[in-house]
Amino acid sequence: MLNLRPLLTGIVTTNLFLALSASAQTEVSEDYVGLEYPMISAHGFGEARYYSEALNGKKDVTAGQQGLQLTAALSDRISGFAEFSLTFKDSDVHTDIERMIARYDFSDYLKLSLGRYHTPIGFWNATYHHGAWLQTTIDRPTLMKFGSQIVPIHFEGILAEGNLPINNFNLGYRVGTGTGVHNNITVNDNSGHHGETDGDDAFTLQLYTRPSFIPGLEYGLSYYTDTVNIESEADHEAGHDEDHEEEHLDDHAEGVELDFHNIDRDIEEKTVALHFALEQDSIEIISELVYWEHEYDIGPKTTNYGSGFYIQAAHQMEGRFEAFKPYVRLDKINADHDDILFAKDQSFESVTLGVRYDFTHSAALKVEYRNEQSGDKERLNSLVMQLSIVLPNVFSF
Amino acid sequence: MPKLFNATAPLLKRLFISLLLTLPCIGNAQAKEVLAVIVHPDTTVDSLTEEQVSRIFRAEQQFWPDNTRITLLIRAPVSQGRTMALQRIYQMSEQGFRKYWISKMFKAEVASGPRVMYSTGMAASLVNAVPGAILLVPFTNIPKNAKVLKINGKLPSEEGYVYSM
Repeated sequence: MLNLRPLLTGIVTTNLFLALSASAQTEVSEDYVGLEYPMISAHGFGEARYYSEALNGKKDVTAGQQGLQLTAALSDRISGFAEFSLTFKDSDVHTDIERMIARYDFSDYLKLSLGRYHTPIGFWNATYHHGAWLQTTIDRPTLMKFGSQIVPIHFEGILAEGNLPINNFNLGYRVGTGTGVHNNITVNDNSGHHGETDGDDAFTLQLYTRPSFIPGLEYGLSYYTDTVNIESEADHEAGHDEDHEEEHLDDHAEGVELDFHNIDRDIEEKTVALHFALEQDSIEIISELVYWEHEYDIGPKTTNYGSGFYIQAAHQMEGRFEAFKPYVRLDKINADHDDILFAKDQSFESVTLGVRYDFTHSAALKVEYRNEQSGDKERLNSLVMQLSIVLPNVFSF
Repeated sequence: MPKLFNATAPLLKRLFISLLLTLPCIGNAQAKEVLAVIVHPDTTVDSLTEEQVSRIFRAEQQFWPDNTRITLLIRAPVSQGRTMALQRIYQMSEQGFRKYWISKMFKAEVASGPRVMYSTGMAASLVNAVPGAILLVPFTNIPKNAKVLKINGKLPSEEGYVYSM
């Protein structure tokens, strides 16, 4: 349907920041330092971590992921956002354009943008993402983990969003169409990012409220649908465990005359998510529930359903311990072992206990104990420490 | 010892009475800590509700009804206006406030945060000069010619004004 990648890379990337200087000549409205257009700000996010796994004694120190976000208000209506990441894994460094958005604000009710986004499904994916310092915990919930196979992390296309203040409930919406960028199908390329497979008619809708009478509260509903192209099912299935591959093929081919294994088929993907987030100075409660359905578009009707949730609670301590924030998170994913969209079994459950220590306004040390189980694998106990920093905006808030 | 007590008793008595008389004045001074909401003179709005103020300063509402972009101005840390605004409007600590705006920009919901005013004079000058500007100031620091908004139908000078602390 809409393939905007060439447009994004060829036009937006090049022209967005070149436009800054041109706009600067025409959009200057006030001759005051800090109030003239363009207003450009930059935030850097960095992390380093230590990981120790109790099961096999594996230990590792890594620089993790570093992010840079640029924001430019070109006029009182036009703005641009860009986010880049540097990921260190093993001895490789991987760079990526995480987001690149150009937006025109018509009013509070309608803001229209074009670009590459973090898909607005649920809360975490579009709220914290590469900003390790922003999130209380060290890592994202497994539903949205690095190279997630469940929630399509990125989305390229057109997005309309806005706010409707109805009875102090502050209803917000985001609706978009374009290309869903999946990290699901191909296996990890060892760079920290999975190879990408595109869905060609992604549609995303999110409704949420932020009631004025409870500061910091947001809850909402998201719906996402896409058709994912699988260029080669053989490639897709290469990611499955060999033990289950034969069984998987037999199931799919049962009672069917055509050999669909050698035919390119698409997978209809539907995802529904509910989220609740309360973020205040002293308390933080975040929870999301995601339900999905995957189905082949032609051939024998093979449908997989699955669901996952997490709930996270944290409390900022008071008095002499006010820099400490203990937290707990439960993650649970129920997925079919041979889900037609996933390259490997996504079943997962974990308990995370940790504490965050903000020793300065711009840096936090986090220590976490995790007890987790992926699929049929043995349960793991691990200890993780992370130093996360934010290099704040050139302007002081 | 009794002589010393007798000599100082009148003095202590006068001091005690003076303190009692002063207490109501201290109470009044505290009651005078009122936060006023002032805007650019051309702003077409004369009155806001408490919820609208919260929505505007949290950037959930970014345009005035005539579709002029709202420009948030806020005093620098430690100033009385900032402290009162964080307590009463944002209900956040200084760290929470900072994180809120970094997060807001990270989510691409705003292209810039509030502009920081380092002096009352700077604030007064800009709120009158920048179309769409809005600022929270202590009642005692309202600049000349500023347009003061009613909140929940009351001006800061009126009894029952919502931002009295």
